[in-house]
Amino acid sequence: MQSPPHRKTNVFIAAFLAIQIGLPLSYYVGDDPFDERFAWRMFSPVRLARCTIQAYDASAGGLTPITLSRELHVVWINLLKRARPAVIDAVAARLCEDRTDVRMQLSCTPPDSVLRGVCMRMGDRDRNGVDDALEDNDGDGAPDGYRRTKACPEGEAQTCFRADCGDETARACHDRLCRVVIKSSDTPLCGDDA
Amino acid sequence: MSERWHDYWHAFRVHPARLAALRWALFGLVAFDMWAVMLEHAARYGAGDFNVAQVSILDVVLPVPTPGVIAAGWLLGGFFGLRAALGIAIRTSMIGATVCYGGIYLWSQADSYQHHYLVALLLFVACLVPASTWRGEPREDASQWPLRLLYVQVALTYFWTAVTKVDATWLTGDTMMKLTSDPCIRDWVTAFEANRGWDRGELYVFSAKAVIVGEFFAAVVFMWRRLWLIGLFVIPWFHVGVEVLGFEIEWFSYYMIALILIMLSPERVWVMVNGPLESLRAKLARDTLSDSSHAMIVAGVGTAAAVGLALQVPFSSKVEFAAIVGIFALLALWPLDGPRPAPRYGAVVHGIVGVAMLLTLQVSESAYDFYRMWGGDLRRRGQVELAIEKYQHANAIMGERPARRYQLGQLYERRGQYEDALPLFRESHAVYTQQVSALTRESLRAPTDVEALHTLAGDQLRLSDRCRALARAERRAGNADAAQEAQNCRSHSLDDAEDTLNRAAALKSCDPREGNRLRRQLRKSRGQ
Repeated sequence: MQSPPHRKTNVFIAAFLAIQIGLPLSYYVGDDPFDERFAWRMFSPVRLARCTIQAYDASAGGLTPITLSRELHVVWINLLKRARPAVIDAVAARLCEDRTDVRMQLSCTPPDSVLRGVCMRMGDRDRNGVDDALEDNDGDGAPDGYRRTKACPEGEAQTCFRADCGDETARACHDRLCRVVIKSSDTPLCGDDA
Repeated sequence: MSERWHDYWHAFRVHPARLAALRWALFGLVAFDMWAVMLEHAARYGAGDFNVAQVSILDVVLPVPTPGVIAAGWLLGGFFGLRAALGIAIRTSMIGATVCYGGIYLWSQADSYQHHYLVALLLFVACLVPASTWRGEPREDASQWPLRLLYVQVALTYFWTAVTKVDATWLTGDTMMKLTSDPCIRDWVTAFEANRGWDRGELYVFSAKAVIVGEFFAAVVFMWRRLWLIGLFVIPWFHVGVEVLGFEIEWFSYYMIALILIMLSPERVWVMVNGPLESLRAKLARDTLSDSSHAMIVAGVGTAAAVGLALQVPFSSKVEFAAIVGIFALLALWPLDGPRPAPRYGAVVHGIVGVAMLLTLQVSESAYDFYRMWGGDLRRRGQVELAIEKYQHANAIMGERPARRYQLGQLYERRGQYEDALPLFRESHAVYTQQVSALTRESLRAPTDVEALHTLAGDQLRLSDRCRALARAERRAGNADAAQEAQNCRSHSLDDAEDTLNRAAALKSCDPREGNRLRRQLRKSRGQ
């Protein structure tokens, strides 16, 4: 028979364990791959995702770029580049304090882009404005990026390409799979429209 | 089930010597971490009156943090941490260190290191252990469940870290390869693979899989005592590897290596250690003062030492900080409700903590970095007046050493205060001339040290910037000769930097990044 103090202790232990199991688990059942706080995702592939951010002042009609480093400490800009939802909302709220219309363009490479040949970057050696990874210079019926990804077994580039892209062109498939738009500059962030 | 649960949590015992080592390592590391490493980042907290807390409710109930409050919090946290490590007012000190460390972590996402969250949790769990158990005087039948919880928390961390990696992306080895940014390590990996006839990148794939297995194994080890000894010889290597590969995670590897060595080492090690520890405890037990007036004098001296040393910290709010230190020192030392245990030792520890804090600030230059970074952020955000104030603090801390005179002079120039800028450019020029001479002598002593040559080239380029600014300022002041002299200094410095970079390039180095960066800088300077 447990003494009352042990009962209380056991409830505390169970609650602590539930939190330490539940919090990381919530990351995996949730739908935000970029917010890894409290999930113990050390050295995760998400950490290496590349995001680009640009904020705009649309108060006067057009899109005037906002220099974020003049408004925020660099640590917050880096967190924006990691697509932290709470930080995005707070930055938007801050920028809207003295502007009537603010837009943000925030897009990231998805963490699994390394698995897809169309998402590889090989540089534009033939200087035709298209990354070599999207071109089929070796004539194997698939973009050359498929030679680069370790996720595609050798000799199966075309199968991997079709599995990723179906009948799409490499460029269209790249645009669909290799950039996740978190915030689009089409959407106003201030006021009731936000 | 209920009996197994009870045995697992409540029949768990840890040797008092192991516990003492755990207290020293965890709270000692936390203290020096806050003083030497974390403090310099305080400037980012509340910069531009902006903050996002880790937990959204805190944004509602707490004000936006300020760099001053955060810096004071970490200074104070270190004071509590080292006091806890050295066994003074253990419970209060542990709670104080935990509130400072964990509270600041939760207050802002400006701290995004997951290992800070782990350390905060471990500190929290440590606070649940009764002070008598930490002192090595546990009640025979007392449950030590918080200590079991420490082990389980570490196990859960390893478990989830392994789960993270059970992912097609990680298994390609690509993440590990990207994390290994050091070209020297990459060259070594390529040579290793070539020697064994492996495909390119195969070692990364193998390592990625091995890390997953190792982390799952580590989770089991911390849950199951019988595996401790095997874990002791396996798990530290992950953290050693992380340091060798040069991942930037501050002191986390050292925390983990210390915790693993202490938590997993065999009981007989602690039985052996216990002998000297017992005699130390016996000595402390003899440190008594029955005469309350003597006890009050000792408490007064200890408190005065702590306050006096706290007043020496190079921060503008040092008086407030010293007052808080004084209150907690007095509470720990004053014989309020009867004689305090080991009163002389307690007084000495307060002196030791104060000296350790000042030495750490001095050696790590964290206080200078705090003001330097604060000034830099304010400058970038256009708050010139405040930036000037912070740079002045930074310069005062560094004395004659290289600091922020040049940047401060530039800010004065921006405001049209040319007469204030000129002496700063002169001082900065003199300091860097000396610095370059010292580094030149060093490089002559070790002519094949590429890193030393890069450091020298970097400072030669900095000197050229300072000469240019000085030439501008002297010309403006109507000192034509001095301006010409400074202009000559600039050309000589650029020539010297080029010469140094050529010497470095002639030596074998697997990492060309720093040399390339300096060459780009040199080209830019020549173009100006």
